[in-house]
Amino acid sequence: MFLAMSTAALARAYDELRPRVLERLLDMRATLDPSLGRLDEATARGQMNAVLEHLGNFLATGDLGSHRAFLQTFIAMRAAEAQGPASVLAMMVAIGETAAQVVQEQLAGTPDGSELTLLLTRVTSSTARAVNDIVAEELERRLAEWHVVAKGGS
Amino acid sequence: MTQTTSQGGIRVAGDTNVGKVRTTNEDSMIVDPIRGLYVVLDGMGGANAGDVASQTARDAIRDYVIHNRTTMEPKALLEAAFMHGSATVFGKAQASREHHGMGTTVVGCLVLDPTRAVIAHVGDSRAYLLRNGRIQMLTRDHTIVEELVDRGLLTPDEAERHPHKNVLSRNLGAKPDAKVDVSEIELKPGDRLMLCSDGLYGYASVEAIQYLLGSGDAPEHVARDLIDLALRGGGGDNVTTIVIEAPQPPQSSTQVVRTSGAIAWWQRRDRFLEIAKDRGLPKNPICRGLAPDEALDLIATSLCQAIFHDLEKSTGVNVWTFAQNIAGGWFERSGEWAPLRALMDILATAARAVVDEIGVKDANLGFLLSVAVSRALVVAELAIGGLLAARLDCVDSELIQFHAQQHDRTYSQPTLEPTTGDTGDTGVDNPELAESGERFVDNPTVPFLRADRPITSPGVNAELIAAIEKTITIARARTSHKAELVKQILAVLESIAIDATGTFASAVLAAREIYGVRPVDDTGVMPLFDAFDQARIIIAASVHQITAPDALRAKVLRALSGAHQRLVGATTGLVLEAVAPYSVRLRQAQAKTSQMRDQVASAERKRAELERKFASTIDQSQPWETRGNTEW
Amino acid sequence: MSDVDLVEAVSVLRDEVLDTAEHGDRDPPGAEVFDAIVNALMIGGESIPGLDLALHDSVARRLAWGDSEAVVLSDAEVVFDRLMIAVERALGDPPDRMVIIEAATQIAVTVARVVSLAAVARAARDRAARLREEMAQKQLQVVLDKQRSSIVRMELETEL
Repeated sequence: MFLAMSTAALARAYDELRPRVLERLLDMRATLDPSLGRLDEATARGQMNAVLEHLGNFLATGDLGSHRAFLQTFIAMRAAEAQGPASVLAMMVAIGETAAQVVQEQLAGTPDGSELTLLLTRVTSSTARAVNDIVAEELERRLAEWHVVAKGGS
Repeated sequence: MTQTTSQGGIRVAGDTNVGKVRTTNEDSMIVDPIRGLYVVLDGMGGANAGDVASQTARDAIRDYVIHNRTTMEPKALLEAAFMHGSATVFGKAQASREHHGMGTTVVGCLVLDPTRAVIAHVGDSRAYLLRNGRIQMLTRDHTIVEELVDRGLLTPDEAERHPHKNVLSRNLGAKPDAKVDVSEIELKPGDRLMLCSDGLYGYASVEAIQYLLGSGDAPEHVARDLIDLALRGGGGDNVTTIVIEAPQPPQSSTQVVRTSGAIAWWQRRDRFLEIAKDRGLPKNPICRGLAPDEALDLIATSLCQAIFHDLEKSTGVNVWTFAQNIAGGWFERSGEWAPLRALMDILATAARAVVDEIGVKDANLGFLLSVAVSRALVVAELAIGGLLAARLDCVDSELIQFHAQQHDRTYSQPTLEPTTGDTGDTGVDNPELAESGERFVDNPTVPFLRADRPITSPGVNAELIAAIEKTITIARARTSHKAELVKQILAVLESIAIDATGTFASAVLAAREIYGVRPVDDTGVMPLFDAFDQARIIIAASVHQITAPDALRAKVLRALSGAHQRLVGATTGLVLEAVAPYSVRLRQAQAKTSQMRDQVASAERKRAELERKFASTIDQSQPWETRGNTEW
Repeated sequence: MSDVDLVEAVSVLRDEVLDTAEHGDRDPPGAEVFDAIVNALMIGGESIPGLDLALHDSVARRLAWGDSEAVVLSDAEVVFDRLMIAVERALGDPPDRMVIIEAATQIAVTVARVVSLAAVARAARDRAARLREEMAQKQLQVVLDKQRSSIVRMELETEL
C-alpha cells in the first residue's frame, strides 16, 4: 500500500476528527454492543475514547507490537466483563469503519480524506487479524488445559 | 412457508419454520400489504397452547386494524390492536384449562408510506433496521433483567450474567391489557426493516444477520436465507422473519464506480490466482490431497468470485460465506490455526497486489478497490472470528463439564463428608463447613432453617395421635418394600405430626436424616421430591381407609399434611444450605477478577506512557505496520 | 361440594390468606402458591405438566425479580398455614376440607421441588460462572506478565 502523505500527517488529521467520530460512536453505541448501550454516557465515552486514542497512536506509529499489546489487554479486560471475543472483534471493526465513514464525510474529495480512509481501513483490517490471532492463542492455551483435565478425568 | 408482496415500491417477504427441535410451530405472522400491516408473533404455553395464543392474537390484531384503521391515528391504532390481542388471548386462556397461562410475544410494523413506519412490540420478538450497511435494533426486549437495569437495580455486568435474563416481563395474554412500546421511524431509500422472533437472533449472530440483510438480494431470498442461517445455528426454536424493503434509491455515481471496480477486479482474476499460487497456496495443509489447480479453483477462485459479487452489490455476504465454509470445514477436521492464518495471509497478499497493480493504471479505481478489498478481508476475519469464539466457548463448556463431573464423582460416595480447606471443584471450601454436620442445625446460614423457629400447629390429642399412627401403619403396608426412602419419610412424618413443641426442630432433624449426603444436582435432589410426592399420595389414600368419623380423618390429614409441608420445606432449606458455598466462592472469584482488572489497567497506563517516549524513535521510512519495535 | 363450588369457596379466601389489604396494588407474596392451589382444585386431581410449568414460571419470575429462594419458600409456608386455618373456619364439611388440604399439600411439595430445582440450577450456574471467572483471570494473568516484562524492558532501554 502506497501512502503519499506521511502517516504522522494523517494521524494529525485523524486527531482533529476524533471528537466527531466519538460523538457518532456514542450515538450508535447500542448497536456496537448491547453492554455498551447499557453503560452511562460518561463511562462509554471514556472507554471508546481510549480505543480511539490508541488507534490514533497506531496510525501514527504503525507499531503492530504495540497494537497487539493494546488488543490483548482489551480482550482480556472485556472477557472479565463477560464480553466474548466475537463481540469485541465486531465492536473494534465497527469503530474502525465508523471512523473511516466520518473521514469520508468530512474530508470528501480531499487527498487527506482518501489516504486517511485507506489507512483507517488498513488499521481495521490489521485489528481484525490481530484479534483473531490473539483469540487463537488463547484457544490453544485452553485446549492444552482441556487435554490435561481430560487425561486426569479418564 | 413464504409470503411475498410488493406495494408502492415497498417489497416485503415473510418466512417461518418450525426449526429442528420443536414439533409444532408456535410462531405466526401477518403480511398484509393492503393495510401495510406486518406482524410476527411467538406463542408460549404448555401442550400446544403456544400456537393457539399466537394465532388468536394474530387474528384479533388483524381484525382490529381492518376495522379501525380509517378512524384512528397509526400509533394509537397499533397499540390498541395489540391490547385487543392481549385481551382476546387472556379471555381464551381463562375459559379453558388446557390454555391456562398461555401467551405470546409480538412485534409489528405499520408502514404508512415509503418514508414512515410505526413499530410496536411486547416481549422479546424484535425489529431491526438496516441502513447504509449497518444494522441497529429498534426494540428493547421486555425481559425482567432489562427492566431491572432500567430501574438501576442491576448493573449492566450483572445483567449479562443474570440466570433469568430471558424471562419475559411482558407478553400478550398474561393480563387482559398489555403495556405496548410504540414508536414512529423515518424510512430512507434502501432501508430494510426486519421483524423476527427470538428463534432467529438466538441462533444467528448479529453480524451474519447484518450481511444477509444487506446482501441486495430480493426480500424473499433474504427471508429464506435468514431462516437457513438460524437452522444452521442449531434451529432450537421456531423461527419467523419478515423483511420489509423501502424503495431503492436511483443508481448513484458511487454505484457506477463500484460496478466498474467489480469488473476491473474480475478481469484480473488470473493474476490473483498466479500470485496465490506463487505464494504457496496449493502447498498449504488445508489443500492437502488436492491437485494444485484444484486447490486454486476451490479456494482462490471462490474468494475471487465472492469479492466480485460483494463489490457489485456492496455487501459482504459472499466473502462471509466463503470464509465460514473454509474455516468451518478446517476446524471440523480439528485443523490448527497456523495453516488457516497462512492461507488467509496468502489470499490477502494476492488481493492487495492485484489492487495495487490496478491502482498504477487508475489511481481513483485503485483507491476504491483498496478500500473495498480491505473491507472484504475484514469480513473474512469477522466470519473466522465468530467460529473461533464458538470453538472457545465449546472448549470452555467442556472444561466446566469436566470439573462438574469431578465434583459429582467426589460426592457420589455415600460416606464422604465435607472437608476443611479448599477442595478445588468439590464446591466445598469453606472451613466453616468443616463442622457442618453440627452447624447445620445449630447455626444454619438460611434463617428459614432455624430449629427454634415457631410454627403454626393445630395441636394434638391422644385420639388424633392414635389415628395418625393407624394411618401411617396402613401407608407403610401400601408401600413397596423397595421404596426405602418413602418408608423413611412416612416414619419421620409421623414423628413430626405428633410433635408438640411448636418449633421447626423436628422437621429440620428429620430432613437432615432423610437428606444424608448427596450431590447438589438434579440426580441427587430430585429423588427426594419424587419420594415426597409418593408419600403424599399414599397418605391421602390411607387416611380414607382408617375407620374414623370424617371430622377426625380431616384432622389426621391436616396434621400429616402440615408435617409434610414442614418436612419438604426443611429439606429445601438444606438444599439452599448446600448451594450457599457456590455463591460465596463465585463472589470471591469475582472480587479477585476485579482486583486483577485494576492491576492490568494500571500496568497498561504505565506501559502506554513508556511507549509514548519511544514514539519519536519510530523509523517513518519503513512500511507502515513494520515499524516500531514493541515486543509482545 | 362440586369442584366448581370448592374453587369458589377457596377463591373467596384469597384476601384473607394473602393479606391483600396489607399490600395494596402490589402482588401479595405467595400469590403464585395460592393461585396454583386454586388451579389444582379446578383440575380436580393430580397435577398436569402445564400446571407445574405455570407454577415453575411464576417462581422463576419471582426469583428473576430478585426474591431469594428462601423468601419464596417462607411465603409458601405462610400461605399454607393461613389457608389451613381459613379452611377450617370457613368450610364445615370435613370431606371438602380434605380435598383442599390434599391440593394444598400437592402444591407445597411442588413449590419445594421448583425452589430446589432453581437452587440446584443456580449452584450449577455459580460453579460454571466461577470457572469462567478463573479462565478470565488466567487471561488477565497472561496479559499482566507480558505487561510487566514489557515495562521492565522499556525502563531498561530508557536508562540506557
